[in-house]
Amino acid sequence: MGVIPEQAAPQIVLQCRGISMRFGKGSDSTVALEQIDLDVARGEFLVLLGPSGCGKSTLLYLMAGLLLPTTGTVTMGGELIRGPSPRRGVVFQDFALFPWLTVEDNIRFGLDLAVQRRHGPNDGGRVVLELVKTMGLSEFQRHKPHQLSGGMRQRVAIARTLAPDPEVMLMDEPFGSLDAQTRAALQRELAALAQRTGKTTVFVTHSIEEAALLASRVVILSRRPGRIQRVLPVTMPRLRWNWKTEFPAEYLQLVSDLEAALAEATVGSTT
Amino acid sequence: MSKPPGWLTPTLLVLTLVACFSSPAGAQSGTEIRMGYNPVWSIPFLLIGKERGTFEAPPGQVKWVTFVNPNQVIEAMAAGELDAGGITPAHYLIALDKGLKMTAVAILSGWSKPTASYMVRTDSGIQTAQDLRGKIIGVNNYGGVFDIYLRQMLDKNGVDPKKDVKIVEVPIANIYQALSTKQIDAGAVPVLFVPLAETKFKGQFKILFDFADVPGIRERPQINQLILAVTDDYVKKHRPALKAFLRRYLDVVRWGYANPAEATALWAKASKVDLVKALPDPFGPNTDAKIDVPALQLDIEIMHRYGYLKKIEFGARPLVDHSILDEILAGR
Amino acid sequence: MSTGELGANSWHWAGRAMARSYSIVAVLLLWEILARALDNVLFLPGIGAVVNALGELARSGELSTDLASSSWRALCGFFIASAVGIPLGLAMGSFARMDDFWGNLISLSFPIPKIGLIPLFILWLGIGDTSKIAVIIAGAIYPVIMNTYSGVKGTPRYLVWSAQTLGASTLELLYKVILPHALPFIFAGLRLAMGIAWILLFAAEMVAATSGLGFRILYAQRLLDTPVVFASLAMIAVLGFAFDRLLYYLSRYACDWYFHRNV
Repeated sequence: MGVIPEQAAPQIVLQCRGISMRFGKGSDSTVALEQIDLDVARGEFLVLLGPSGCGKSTLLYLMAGLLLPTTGTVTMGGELIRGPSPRRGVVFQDFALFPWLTVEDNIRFGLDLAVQRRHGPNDGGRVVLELVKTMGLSEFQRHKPHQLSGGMRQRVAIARTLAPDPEVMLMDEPFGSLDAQTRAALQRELAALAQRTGKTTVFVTHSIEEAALLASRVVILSRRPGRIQRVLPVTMPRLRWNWKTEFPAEYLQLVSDLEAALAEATVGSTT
Repeated sequence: MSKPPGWLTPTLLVLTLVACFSSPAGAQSGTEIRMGYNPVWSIPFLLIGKERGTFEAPPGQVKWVTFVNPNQVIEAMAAGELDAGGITPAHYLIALDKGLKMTAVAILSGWSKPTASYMVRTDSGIQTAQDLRGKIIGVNNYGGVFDIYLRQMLDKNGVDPKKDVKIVEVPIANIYQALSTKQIDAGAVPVLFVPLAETKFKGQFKILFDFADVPGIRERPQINQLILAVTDDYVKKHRPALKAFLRRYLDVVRWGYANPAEATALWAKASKVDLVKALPDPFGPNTDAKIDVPALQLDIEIMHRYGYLKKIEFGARPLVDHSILDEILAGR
Repeated sequence: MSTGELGANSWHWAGRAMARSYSIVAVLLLWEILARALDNVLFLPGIGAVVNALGELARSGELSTDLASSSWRALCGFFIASAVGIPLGLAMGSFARMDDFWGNLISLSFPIPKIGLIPLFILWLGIGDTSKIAVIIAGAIYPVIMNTYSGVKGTPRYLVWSAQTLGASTLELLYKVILPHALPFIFAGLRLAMGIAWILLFAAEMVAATSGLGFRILYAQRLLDTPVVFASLAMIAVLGFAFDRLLYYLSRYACDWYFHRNV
């Protein structure tokens, strides 16, 4: 279901085959994920949706290489993923900014590492400056994280992840701890950014509304043990804040489909 | 839980304060003399008497309290926990300087032919007192005779005892050990232990100088090494008991001088130092148990010069009180 | 900015500084009253006598020698303990094998009272600076190791993951993420180590030394000079206080973020 046939999409960035994830040993163990086959296509905005505890974050971390699967493989460009890498950037829910660094230094963290190892070019300053402008952080460059609001911190986190120009950006419920207004603003900014740059994004959420607003494809996972419940492609344009006037029917249909799928996933039946 | 009554806390506080400042346990009972002493000190007649049980019966029976340092004895006397103590003349003078109310009544040990020695390693290259510049010297007590007279010797030889040398406290029993392990370069030992340098330590150490070489000391006929001080309080309240004790003490003194061999054997047994038997002049010159006052006055002068004493006169109080001894000696 | 901070309201700050000194003034008053009541310079000298004694020590140059000796020994011991303890704590917290190797040794030797080891150290290392510095290192290194270890263990997983997904190697993780995050804990350990250093130093100086504030106390005690004892104790308190404050302000400067973390 999640697998994309070769003719349908020109490039696959990530491939998960036969993934299952078991935590713990013996009788105490829990199976978080079971039999996951999923591809991530270049440029798409893939949303992982599901009830709490369904393993969607786990799947995201497996894609990042922060966890290793119990069975199955995760490959990127044909190579097996063995650990984390700046080619797979991650944005966490609680921002995880380095509190002792300024906004600017946080953003350039990955770039500085690359420069020190002489991997990357030394024009980190330019990249940082651009990101700061893009994310609207110009006034706050020298501020420390504790001096920023939640929304600002998340912007910094996104900028930090984007600085080393990863091939895929993985986001784990990044707007979950923000208030409604900030969340809405950031959703728009993210959608615009992703569309403009064509950045491949995998986005975890439990909010139907968020999925409906952002996704180019939605994968619904069932509750534990997590399996792929349904896959829903989305044909609406990426920037769809004017859905009420432009395409209300499509949008509401999507929402209702997602609600139904989520209800099924929560109850526990799988197709 | 109900609140305690309002008067409880202040009352407890007051009681605690009163308890802190009231007289400590171990208060004096009857005519007993609570005496502070150190068994390893050179106090022959006191130890002999103790060994024979001379001082057990009232009045003026002794309750022995052991201390390590003379300053502790004085502190205990000032706190009312002791009635009498064996202390060095230097510490006695400092006590008077501080206005503490105690008087010296008898001598516990004294020397003529002052002969305590300062030893160095034979191979150290130290030949004179001036060679001690920059070296480490061990004495048994700060403020004891070894300390004070060492400073006198250094000063008279152009070496500043505060700036040019380091003086550390080392118990007499450890001096030779400290010397041989090079923890100190020179160490003071009483005449008692000087022969050990040859016998036990096979000539590792030699005498650098002794008391007889120290300017200002060698001219004296006598040195008071340890004296007996009694609190004014006790003298006032229990003079007869003190007299009884001193009478017995004088008896031991006279017996000792009359039977030196037996006395030194007893002394060796009581102090567990066999060497005392080899001493040429074990008991010193004070056959009447009196303190040598001119020697004491010379100490005042030296100590004042080196800043140990602020005053030279201590008011109307006499330096020593030999009145009780005089009464006993006159047969009263 | 929270209220009460320097610069935000200088009157407020001055008022607080005064309020903090009331207890000290009260103690001093009580002391003087008691001293006059007891009228015994051996037990409780008055403030005047102590100040005089301090002046005498300063005039004779002994005060500066003592301060220099004591400070030198304490700081040497402190710095060596920190230089060894911090990397060890970092290593033990980060690598299981280091923890396995050192863990039991440290747990077993920690409860041994280092004050009790002073005579042994003096026997082995003499009466000079070395024995005292060694005792200080032996005692002060423990809070440094243990607090550094705690700091490392407390590194949030998401910070480690963030650094890793930005390309950090193990070594870079250690000194760019784990170390800065553990810094507040390290400073806590350093402040403890400093306190222990002073305690052990004075205990050692009171056993065998020829200079230093601890020696001064011993010597003054022998000669029944209580005002000098008090003056030295006061100096010890001032020294300890000064260095602790120094460390505190250093920690505010170095890890200010930690003090604002819940803002």
